[in-house]
Amino acid sequence: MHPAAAVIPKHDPSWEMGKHGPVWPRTPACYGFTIIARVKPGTAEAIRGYGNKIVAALEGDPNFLAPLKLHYLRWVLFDDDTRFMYQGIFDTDFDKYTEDAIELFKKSGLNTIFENLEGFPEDWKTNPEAFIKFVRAHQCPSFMEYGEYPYVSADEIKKALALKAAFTEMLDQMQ
Amino acid sequence: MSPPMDSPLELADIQSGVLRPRPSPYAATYILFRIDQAAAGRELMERFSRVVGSAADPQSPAGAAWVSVALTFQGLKALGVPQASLEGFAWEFQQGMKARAGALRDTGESSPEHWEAPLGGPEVHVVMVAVAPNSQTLAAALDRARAAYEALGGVTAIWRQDCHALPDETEPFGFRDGINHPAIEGSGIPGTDPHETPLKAGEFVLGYRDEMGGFASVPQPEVLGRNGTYVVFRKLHQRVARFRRYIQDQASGPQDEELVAAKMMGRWRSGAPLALCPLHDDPAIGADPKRNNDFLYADDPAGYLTPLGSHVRRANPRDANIAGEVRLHRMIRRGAAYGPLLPKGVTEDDGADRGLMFTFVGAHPKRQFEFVQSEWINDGVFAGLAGARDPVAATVDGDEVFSIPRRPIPRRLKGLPQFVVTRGGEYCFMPSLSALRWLADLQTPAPTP
Repeated sequence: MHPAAAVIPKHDPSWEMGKHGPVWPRTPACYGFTIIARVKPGTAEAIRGYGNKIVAALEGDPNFLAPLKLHYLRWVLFDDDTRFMYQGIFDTDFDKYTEDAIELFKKSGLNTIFENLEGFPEDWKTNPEAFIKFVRAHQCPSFMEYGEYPYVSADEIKKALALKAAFTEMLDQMQ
Repeated sequence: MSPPMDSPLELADIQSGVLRPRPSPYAATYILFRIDQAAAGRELMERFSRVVGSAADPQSPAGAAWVSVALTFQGLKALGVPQASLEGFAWEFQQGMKARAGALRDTGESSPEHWEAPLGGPEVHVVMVAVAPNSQTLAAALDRARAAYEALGGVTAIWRQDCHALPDETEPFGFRDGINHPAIEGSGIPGTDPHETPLKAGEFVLGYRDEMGGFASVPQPEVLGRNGTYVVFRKLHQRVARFRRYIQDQASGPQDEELVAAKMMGRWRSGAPLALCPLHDDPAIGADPKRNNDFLYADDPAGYLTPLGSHVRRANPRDANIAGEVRLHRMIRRGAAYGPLLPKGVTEDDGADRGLMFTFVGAHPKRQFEFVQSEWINDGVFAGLAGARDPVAATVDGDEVFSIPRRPIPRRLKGLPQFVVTRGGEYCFMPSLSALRWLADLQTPAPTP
């Protein structure tokens, strides 16, 4: 396995087009997005509070985010808590899984951190079209992405680690 | 604002072909029309509106045959549907299947440049499907239909495909077909999976609440869009000889051939699911509608019974642990076989064209049909299978390997060739009966060609 990087141009005619624009390709760093938006005044603490909610929800059900096929989430407040960056790295194409993500958040009762961002549609629970428009309007596509272990899915990584653990266990049992 | 009240499904206004499973056995014919003159196209809609049955009718107004009618986006334009109305249709439908080939993974041999003319072309405007219990009844109904459209002038039948049931209700590879039909709230037509809660009507018909609690965009005026839905027709060529030869090459003997084939499909030829019959076929279960769809996957997470990558587990993962929400990607799908049966035991291609006319019905072509094609059939990430594709139905792009979970190590089938090739198809809108009459009564100026 060789590390790999990819440059993502502003436009590429070979990209599949969707209703709301190009479908960005999978890169060595998998799929993902970086969404940057203004915070509704006075809600920065509520946004921070979502961090605790996610931690608590995972304590209740460690697999509650599993259907999103995530690698990482990075949530950043910046510019004196007036702006928010939501960066996610995952294995599925968000354009295709928007509705699935909405359903998952509805089910979890967490609602979404996006509700505290300016311009986020109030009817997001039943209007995936408006949700994806917001995401598209605030997405800042990468111009370069790098993967030390390129194109490997989270499931494959988890399987490899489980296999290693099982081997260790097996070897222990043979002592 | 309080959400709009849910109204019951208006079955008397919905085409029977949307909700009713086809008869079995069956004979079916697809005819494509080009509209040369808008006035003639409108008259055709008028005539169709008198022969298309509703989902509420136990009897078809066309006698022993059932007729369904759908239009492509180009067809709606050719009838002179106003621009404001056209813009309310699903974006993917407006693009058409040919333009969506990339999203559907119709590449290589399945790419539009190889499609059968006129499929995917700009002159396909109207799709008529007639279904009857046998060929004689169908032929009589088609004779009457022909008299109606040939006399019309200004509309031309440009393509025809005849389909017919194969012995034992199988598809051309030899597996029982048409087992799964989702239950739909308010349709009165039972589903086949006792574990599946009926799906919201808005998943299948425009104007009703869907699984997300919202509504798909209804093209306006209301009479045009409401009670209509989207249908996708695809002509899928099946390489039966190649399929048989591949199975033979992989297997250690005739019994193993059946096992390999069943593992690829997820069911035995009889329709008996591996989930219930992991070791050998059980034709009694396969033929029993009470049992042949009565199973789940959660108790088989590794796929020792039904491989995670097998065709039927991909096409409907039920309660399996996958990316996303299964219920957002359910659809009504029907297959009608075409072409001659390849005689039993033959493993050399006879050059005949055979396969399935595949039909999708659903209100959300993107998250239902297109999603299943790209994510479930032509990828494996959703089920933790990295890039592995459907061993039967996928477009082959490179070295395809199919893994059959087995203790102590999986059995791997290598070098999978492509068994199913897309010959073409169309994205269509299947209007309600009142919309057919609305289209017939259009008074807008005819579009300039």
